[in-house]
Amino acid sequence: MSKVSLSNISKSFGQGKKSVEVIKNLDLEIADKELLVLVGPSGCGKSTLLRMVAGLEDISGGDISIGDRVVNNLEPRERNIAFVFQNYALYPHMSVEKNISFGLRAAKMDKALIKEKVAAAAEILELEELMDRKPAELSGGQRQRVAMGRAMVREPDVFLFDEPLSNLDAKLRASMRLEIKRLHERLKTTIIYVTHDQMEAMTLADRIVILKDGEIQQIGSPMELYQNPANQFVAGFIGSPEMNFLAGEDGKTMGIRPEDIYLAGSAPELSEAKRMNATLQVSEPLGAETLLTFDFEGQGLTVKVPGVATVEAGAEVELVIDGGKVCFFGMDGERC
Amino acid sequence: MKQIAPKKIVIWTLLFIGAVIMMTPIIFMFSASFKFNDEIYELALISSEPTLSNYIYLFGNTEFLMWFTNSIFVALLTTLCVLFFDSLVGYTLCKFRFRGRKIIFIAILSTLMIPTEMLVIPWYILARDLGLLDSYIGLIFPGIMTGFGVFLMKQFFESVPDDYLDAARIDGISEFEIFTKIAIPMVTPALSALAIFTFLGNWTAFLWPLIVTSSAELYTIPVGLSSFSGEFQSEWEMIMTGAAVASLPTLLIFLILQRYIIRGVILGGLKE
Repeated sequence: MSKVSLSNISKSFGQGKKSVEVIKNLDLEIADKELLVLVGPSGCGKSTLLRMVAGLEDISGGDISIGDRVVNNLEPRERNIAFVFQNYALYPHMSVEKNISFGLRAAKMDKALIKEKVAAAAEILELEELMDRKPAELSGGQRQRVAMGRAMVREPDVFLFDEPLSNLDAKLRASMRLEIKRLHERLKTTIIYVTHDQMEAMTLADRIVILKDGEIQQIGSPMELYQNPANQFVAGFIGSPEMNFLAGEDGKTMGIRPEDIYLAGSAPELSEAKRMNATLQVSEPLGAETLLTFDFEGQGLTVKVPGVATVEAGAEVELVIDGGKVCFFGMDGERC
Repeated sequence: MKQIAPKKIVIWTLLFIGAVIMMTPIIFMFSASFKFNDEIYELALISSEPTLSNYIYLFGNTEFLMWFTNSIFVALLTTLCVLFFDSLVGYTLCKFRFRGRKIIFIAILSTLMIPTEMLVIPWYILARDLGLLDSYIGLIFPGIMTGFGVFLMKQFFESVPDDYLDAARIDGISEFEIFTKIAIPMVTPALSALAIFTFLGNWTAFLWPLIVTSSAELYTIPVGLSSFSGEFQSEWEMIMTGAAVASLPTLLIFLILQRYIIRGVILGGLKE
């Protein structure tokens, strides 16, 4: 069993008047074998939270348990976790093989067993040819795989990933994302994964936790968060392109996703439809779909339509909004 | 014919002048070591009667080998101490947060501003009270830690990202092992530079060894060579011969360590 429980966790940096609270009385349960993604804008406390689970950062209050053990006062090495760093943190003076086996050698494990484990990890991650190279001789993707290999051989209770893909280019990021997902299916280990990229969160997570200013905004499966955001922050953070927000006269804000707005001619039959006229400003064809940015009474409105749109910029177009998909947010940003 | 840019001519000329200024005393030293005493004030680089007799006399009739061994022992041991203590203190001041850290660093830095001539009196009193006069420990103790080395190492450790140390903490090694196995290998260029400076400084040190030693068997090369210089005359050919032999280890050390320094410069230019 390797569930992780955070109970009433808080973290402050600095002392006295200069003290800044970055995590505020946070409760979170991560189930055994779950892949949980912590996501939020930079400075929201997600990396700090991960480092607290790892034992690299002290906690100011509360309890952290891994399995049935409270680990508050345990050293990182005693927590049986593995950590994959954003910059990989591969030891530059050691070969790939030495990097992967370092933790096992430190634990004075039997040499034959170390060899076996390293070989198994190298096979899974396709690193066999690279074992004698130094990190400086590897590409970004290869370094990433070595970092995962180093984490894997420890057979930890929990994997902690701190924005592991943010240094890779978009194409490599997509393939590594898939690799991490496969690895999770194969190893069936609890993973806590930190990212600021909502796309990464959506594609990887069993559940997503959205953080802002050290507080949880919402926890749920990717589709729950997408379809049923708890507040305007979550609604805006999840989904690309971002949800449209239109200010109403009563102080409320109406939120509607770009794919839930249709051009009048091609709208499907909707049980609850709202019609409006808007002027097209920009058209961005992406191949399979087109993003249209409209001006509606001085507010921007993005619409995603399938295929190629034949509307000219400057033209006034009738739009149909799927009323069933509209969300309303109050003055405080909460759903109403 | 390819034209040489005027800028290059200026640079080469300046470099040539610099090289002549630097090399002349060294060449003169080697040249003088092959001359007899009566030729020593002649400027000719090659003697009319080159001789090896100075070398034969130096190794056969003086305590030069003992001074050489003493110098090697003192300089090597001091260098090893400096490398260990300065990097340990620099690492601690750089990578750990504790109360008084800045004050300690400033205190260490401030020692750089005090000249050796002022320090020899407290050193002497300390050595006398601890019974270290005229001993190897007495020769070595003032140099086992230097403010400059601590400063240099601290600055280099700043460039080692904390993630490496955190990765090692998760890998489960002790803090001291993190220092020796992870942090130290990342600052070898700085260590090489510090090793060269410290070795040279101690190899050529004169004032303190002269003050602290009184038995001839503890003399280092500079102190030993000074014994060739008397009140009424100096045996310059012997001083030059001794200095020529003494310069060889420093050249060797530099040749061994310079590639690390150059590699350090290249590595430092790339983002990991």
